[in-house]
Amino acid sequence: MALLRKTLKEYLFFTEPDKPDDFVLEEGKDEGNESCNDAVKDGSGEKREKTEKVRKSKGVIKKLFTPEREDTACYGYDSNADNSEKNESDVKKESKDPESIKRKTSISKDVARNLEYMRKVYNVPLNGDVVIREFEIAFKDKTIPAFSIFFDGLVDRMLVNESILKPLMLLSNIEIKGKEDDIADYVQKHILPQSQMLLEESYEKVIFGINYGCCAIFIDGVDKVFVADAKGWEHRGIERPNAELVIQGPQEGFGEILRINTALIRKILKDEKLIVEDILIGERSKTPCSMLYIKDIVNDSLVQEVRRRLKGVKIDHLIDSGELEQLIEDSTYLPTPQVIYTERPDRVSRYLANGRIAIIVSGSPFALVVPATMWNLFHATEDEYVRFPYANLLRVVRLFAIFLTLLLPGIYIAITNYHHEMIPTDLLLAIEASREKVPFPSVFELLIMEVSFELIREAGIRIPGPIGPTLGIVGALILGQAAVSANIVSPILIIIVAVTGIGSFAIPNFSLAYSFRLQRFAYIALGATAGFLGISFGLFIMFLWIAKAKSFGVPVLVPYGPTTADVNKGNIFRNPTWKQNRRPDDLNVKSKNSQQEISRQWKINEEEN
Amino acid sequence: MSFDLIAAILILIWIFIYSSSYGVWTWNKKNRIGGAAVLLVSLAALVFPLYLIFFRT
Repeated sequence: MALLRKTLKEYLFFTEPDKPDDFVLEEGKDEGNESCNDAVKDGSGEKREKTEKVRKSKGVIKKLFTPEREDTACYGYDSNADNSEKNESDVKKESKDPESIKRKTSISKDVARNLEYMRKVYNVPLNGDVVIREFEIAFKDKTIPAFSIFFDGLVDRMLVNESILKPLMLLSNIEIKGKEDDIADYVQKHILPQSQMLLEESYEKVIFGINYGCCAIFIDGVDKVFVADAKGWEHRGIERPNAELVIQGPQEGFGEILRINTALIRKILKDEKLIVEDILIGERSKTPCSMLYIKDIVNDSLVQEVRRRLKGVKIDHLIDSGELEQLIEDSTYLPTPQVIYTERPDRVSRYLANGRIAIIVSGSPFALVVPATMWNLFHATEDEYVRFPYANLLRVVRLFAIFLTLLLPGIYIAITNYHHEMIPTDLLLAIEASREKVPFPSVFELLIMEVSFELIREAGIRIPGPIGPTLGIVGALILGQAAVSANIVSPILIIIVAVTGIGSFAIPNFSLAYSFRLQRFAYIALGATAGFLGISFGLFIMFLWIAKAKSFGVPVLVPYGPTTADVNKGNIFRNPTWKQNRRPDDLNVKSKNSQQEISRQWKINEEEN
Repeated sequence: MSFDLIAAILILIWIFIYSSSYGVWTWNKKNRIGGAAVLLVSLAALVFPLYLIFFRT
């Protein structure tokens, strides 16, 4: 009876909903005592405890806090960084694997054994690009056998010859004033002039160094290996960014070399608080990634969250930042992107200065910036460089472009099929007259054109050289005209599809434009089935979905949903530069002000005079 | 009185009770205008259909 009463009450009367999950940025400060105390205070302790248990069982929280790395190697990465993250099953598996045991063991003093082992590891002579050079070092009236090993093409040959092999083979014969009895000390202090060189004690670290473009030197009688930085692979230089061109503003884009990319950012920011934290991703590829943030601005919880996600990525190979984006984003199925994808160092620097975090992957000319809100995706780089009225005009144009891309075909279908009364009679007659000879229903006609347009666009990208843009013109002009002449489509539809396509090109974020292109088909279907009601339903569902979405704990629609103090501060329209005193408040940054309250001090001086 | 009519009235009453209880909750949460508006809407959601069912010819 009590149960029936309870059920009836539940269905008959409104009951207060459970409190939603806490904002990640605040709860991440300490997963231990603080959050537990808070949970007890707000009365949701039990629920939180259960969630914690589930998360702990999945091994998420225990990976959140990892000890600081002891040192960064000469190649820039600690080869142990990712090993500490391996889960227990991996450790067990490895502990049984004799090869992995050997790799972690210390290096033999016998150079012949080391040579044999390295030959085995690198499958020499099957592996054609491994270079092993045997030689002898003169040390106190005796010669000591040694060998160097490196990858041809990865190292700078000149550097290896002049700064490593030549000193070891020739300079060791010259009598150098030194009291060292140990050859390792002697070589390190007097023979090798390398600025970045490490003495490694395990095979694993040596192998990692060689794979990353270092030259390893094994010497008989020494149970350590010299790993000298000699990277010298070929790479593309700094070029103009292809996808984010600006008229006014810096013209440098990222390249494929990680250190050059981080240096480009450091060159702009020149801030000693800028941290470039290195993380290796990929069990096999060991792709170096850098996480950049400004320590005294960024929210620590955000840093921990990004670090946790990056270290929680367990894949064999990571090639590009696009893959990483998909592995760390919050929602896989949400059509809109949740990470900012940019190839401009100046844009990354601006985001870093506002308290965001950038992730750069070695080998990728695109940096990821997190967290991303809808407004970040809608802004273009040039917005900050041009005067604010112009920037606002561009933003209005962009909003209009979004409307066209997303809704124009759907609205056309809805009006022509269901809401004839909305358009003036003359226009209606013109539309109908143009469609008179077209044998297909308007929705089918529209789909033919949309698919053709997407086809032309895709083909234009794939076709190499100057033929690509030519195909676009041929497709748009000739095929369009031919389709109209053949009465397959009506002329007004050509205009609709063309305007929609142009609108999608005006969206500054490539991923966002993709998302709207995808959603457009849903709105066509909804407009064709239920007219404006269907489109309204689609918009309602889309906004619900986006309003629920978060990017690294930050709601995607902030500061409008949820509303914050920044609601009127230049998200849709930009404020003048001198008025942008505060950093965005959605990230709870440590330093709220980005400039002085009165940034134009000369104005005061002018008034005083 | 047909079964359909009874079912419709029961559903209307259910909607009215549920939405007005939400209005009361909103009122108690110090959102006076919101609470009053929800109560008004829930009353309208009951009165209009009843008017259409019983009085409109």
